[in-house]
Amino acid sequence: MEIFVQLLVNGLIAGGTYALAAVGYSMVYGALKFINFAHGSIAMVGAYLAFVLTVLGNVPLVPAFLCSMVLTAGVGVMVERVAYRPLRRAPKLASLTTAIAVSFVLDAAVMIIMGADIRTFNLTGLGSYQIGPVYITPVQGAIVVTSLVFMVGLYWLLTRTKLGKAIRAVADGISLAEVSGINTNLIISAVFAIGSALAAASGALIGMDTNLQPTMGFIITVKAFAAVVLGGLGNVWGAVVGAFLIGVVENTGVWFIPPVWKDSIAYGILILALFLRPSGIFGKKEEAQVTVL
Amino acid sequence: MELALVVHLLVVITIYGILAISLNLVVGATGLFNLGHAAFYGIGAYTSALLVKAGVPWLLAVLASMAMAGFVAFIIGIPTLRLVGDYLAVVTMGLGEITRAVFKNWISLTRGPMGLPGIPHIAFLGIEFDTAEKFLILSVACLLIVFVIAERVLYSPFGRALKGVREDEAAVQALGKDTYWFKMRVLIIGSAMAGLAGSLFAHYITFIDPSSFVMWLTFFIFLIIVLGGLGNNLGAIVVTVVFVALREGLRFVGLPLWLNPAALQQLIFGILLIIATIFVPRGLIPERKVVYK
Amino acid sequence: MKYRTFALWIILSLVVALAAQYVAPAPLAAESPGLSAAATPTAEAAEKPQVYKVGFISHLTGDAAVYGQSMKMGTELAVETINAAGGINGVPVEVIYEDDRLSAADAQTAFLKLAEVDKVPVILGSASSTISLSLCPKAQEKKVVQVSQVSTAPALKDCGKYFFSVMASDTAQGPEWVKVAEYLGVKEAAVMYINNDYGIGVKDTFVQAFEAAGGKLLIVQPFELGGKDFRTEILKVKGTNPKVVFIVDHVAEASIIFKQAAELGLKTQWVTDVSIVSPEVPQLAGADAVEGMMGLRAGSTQTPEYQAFREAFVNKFGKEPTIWADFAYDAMMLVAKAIEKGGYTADGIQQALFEVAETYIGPSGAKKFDEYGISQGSYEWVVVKNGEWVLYEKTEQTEETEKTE
Repeated sequence: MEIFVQLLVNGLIAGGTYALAAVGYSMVYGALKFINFAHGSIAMVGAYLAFVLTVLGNVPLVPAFLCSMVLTAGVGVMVERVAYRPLRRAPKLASLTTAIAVSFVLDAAVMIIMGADIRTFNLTGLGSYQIGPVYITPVQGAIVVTSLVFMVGLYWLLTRTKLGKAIRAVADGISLAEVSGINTNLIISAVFAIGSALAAASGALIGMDTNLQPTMGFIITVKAFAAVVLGGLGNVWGAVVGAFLIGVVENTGVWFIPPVWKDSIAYGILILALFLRPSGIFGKKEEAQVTVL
Repeated sequence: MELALVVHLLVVITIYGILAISLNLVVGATGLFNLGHAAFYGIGAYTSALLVKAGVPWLLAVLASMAMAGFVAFIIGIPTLRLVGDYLAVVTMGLGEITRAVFKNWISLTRGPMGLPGIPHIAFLGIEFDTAEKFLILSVACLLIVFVIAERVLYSPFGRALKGVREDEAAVQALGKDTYWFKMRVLIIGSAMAGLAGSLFAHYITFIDPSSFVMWLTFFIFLIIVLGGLGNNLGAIVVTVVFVALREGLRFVGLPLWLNPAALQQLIFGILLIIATIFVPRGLIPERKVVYK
Repeated sequence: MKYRTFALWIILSLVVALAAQYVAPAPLAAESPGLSAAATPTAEAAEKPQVYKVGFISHLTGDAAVYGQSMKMGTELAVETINAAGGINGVPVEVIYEDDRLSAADAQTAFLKLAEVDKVPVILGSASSTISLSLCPKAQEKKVVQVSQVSTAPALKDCGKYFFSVMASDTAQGPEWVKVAEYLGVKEAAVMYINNDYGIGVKDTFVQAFEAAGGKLLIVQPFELGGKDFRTEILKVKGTNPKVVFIVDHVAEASIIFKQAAELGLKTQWVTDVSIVSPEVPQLAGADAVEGMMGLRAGSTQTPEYQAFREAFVNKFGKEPTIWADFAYDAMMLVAKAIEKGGYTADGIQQALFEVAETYIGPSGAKKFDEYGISQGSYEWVVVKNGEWVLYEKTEQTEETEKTE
């Protein structure tokens, strides 16, 4: 029994990192209705920026973390400007193509600048605390706190501010938002900035908990995509729930089934869930759009 | 003149060309967002390789591998084809990865990650296709057959119904058509073609392992059909040629050693992809909208 | 419409430009009249080329790039050493690096480019056993010597006469682990292995040998390549309270496993395979997490050859030798010696490789090949002390290295 408390905690912590990536993903989907396959690579860029600032630049961890979020937000806005905005009126699959190409470019650029070596934040001497039967490390604690803080902040932003209102208006319908006098280009840039900053937080936290490699983005993309779809496309809070579900299922499922099937379990649950609810857990039927066209 | 390299690249192009045409039927013509295409390619490769190794003639083995890929597509199609858009994408992605996990973990059959060495060359009609040149004749013939079949499918009443499903599924249903079976049939046809490509690949390289059937391959084929023009088979083939020529051609550009040439090639390739997509968002040969007067 | 035509022209002209590259000999090739060497039967008959080209195929991008790039550094260092000493009989060596993207089809492209365009008689690589296996039929057909640095799958011995590997086969490590177990006096142990060709190979030979010697396995726990979260796997192993855990893994995953195991309070004697014995592991996992961990090292770090290599590596790249760089260095050195002895032809190199390897001792140890062209490595027992891999001091036995087979 005790072991399951530990497994559950581990699952929730993994879910926390996925959730940070997934909300950004979901917001971009909400605004532009396409899958941003470069999202994980942007998270990777954020992780490397935080690494460069702390380990090579000797900036203290927390300012470096926030700084990397700001810088990555800039990267996200730039990517949108260069690779997605010219395609806004094109078929959605064209944006998907450039998204894949952007992830090539980002992965390769980081590999050229930083090399292929595995990097670490050197946070290893911190040890871990034992609370009851559960072991938890300071970094894991930070993951929980950070994801909670950002979720609450995002909720506040989306529901209580004018910007949030505009973002939701754009998500409801871009042309309608435009005729209502909203500067949609600006709002979409804001969405990319927020989404990329949260992705950077996710990447940096994963990097602190484990390690950094230029190719680490792909798995983040896949997990966040699964979380977003499981929660229901375009529903930011659904994405959070989806992320935690996937984290918990992965961690507890491996206890019963050989870990060589780890990813298969996560996908299996996903497929089952979508079989029962074809538009995701919180998705509305009409949100289930066809990206292809 | 380095004929062997050109012949090899042509063989690669024909195999990718078959994959592109088959995915084009599913994604381009019908609008089914299938991210698990590499799985059917893998099923074809393993079925054919194992049967020929067991002494079955290639002609039977390739039919079996197409039947097998089609059958798995049928099984997968039952629960998934009622999903639409991105929900279908994530489920097919999951099923593709589960299939690869089976290749990897069913060690007694597939030798798992160790791979399957010593796959015999194709012997058929008394000819052994043991050199790349002879193989090229066979693979070009296969590509032509697939091309002709795909064109006939596309421009048949069935093909027009498929495009109807893509444009507006509800409208086709309102005409009293069973769209579910349209989708199922095209998924089976496309997957069987991918199975053929897999068989060719297995007997050409003479060694297969699960890492040849990763999700990245599906993404590549996706890029090809988007840039070729959705639903256009000629465009798909032209882009396959350009794609392979560019990607491998970059090997010949003398890049400085200190700049990490391999990563730089990936970077340049990514940038070219973004530029190409922005210039031809609807593909090289965009679909002509039929106008009835 | 205008944009489309424009784009079409751009793409077309690019294709034409590239096609021209294919047809016209590459600029470097034009400078070296030695291309004819491949056509003439013996090296003596051929004129001395201006440069000896050697091919290199490995994973230079993608998930496994860390290993390919590291071996590229080892190779670069070897080339620098050779050329600084005047090359091979006065002719410098040039290595052409190609990426296999960890894909069999792309590896084949890289191989054909090297064999047909650059006309190299010998290639180094690939690192992954599966990619090496996928390449070897083609290398035999085209009569190109293939020298893999670290491919260890047992199936490689059936490749044919042009295949060599400078690392001992997977099958040698399992029995060596049993010796460690006997030395530590353990009858019960846990095994963790990475679910790829290498992990399964080492695990199988160990399980077989350990059980034959009367040992009992508490748990045989696999985990996935490319994972980041191994906590559940570790908890399962922890549940069996193992005194000793044998683990076969790669640097990327192993450094996470040791860190997470320490965080989850798994206190055990780790014993690792050769691929974890690298300075990166204590550095990445944290010295505390791996203190006292035992491992097998292929070759020896105590030899003057290794010390000299280490110094040269630090001088050139400003960091400690990375994983497999020493094996890549030795593969290149052996090839250079074979060219010197047997001439710049595949058959000359193939025959000379056996002879030069008889006496060659490099940073990764002695490289003597068996009849299949596979090196017969020796292992050294090492242990992590104060965050560094150092020689393990055995208390009963005095011999430092044990020859296997």
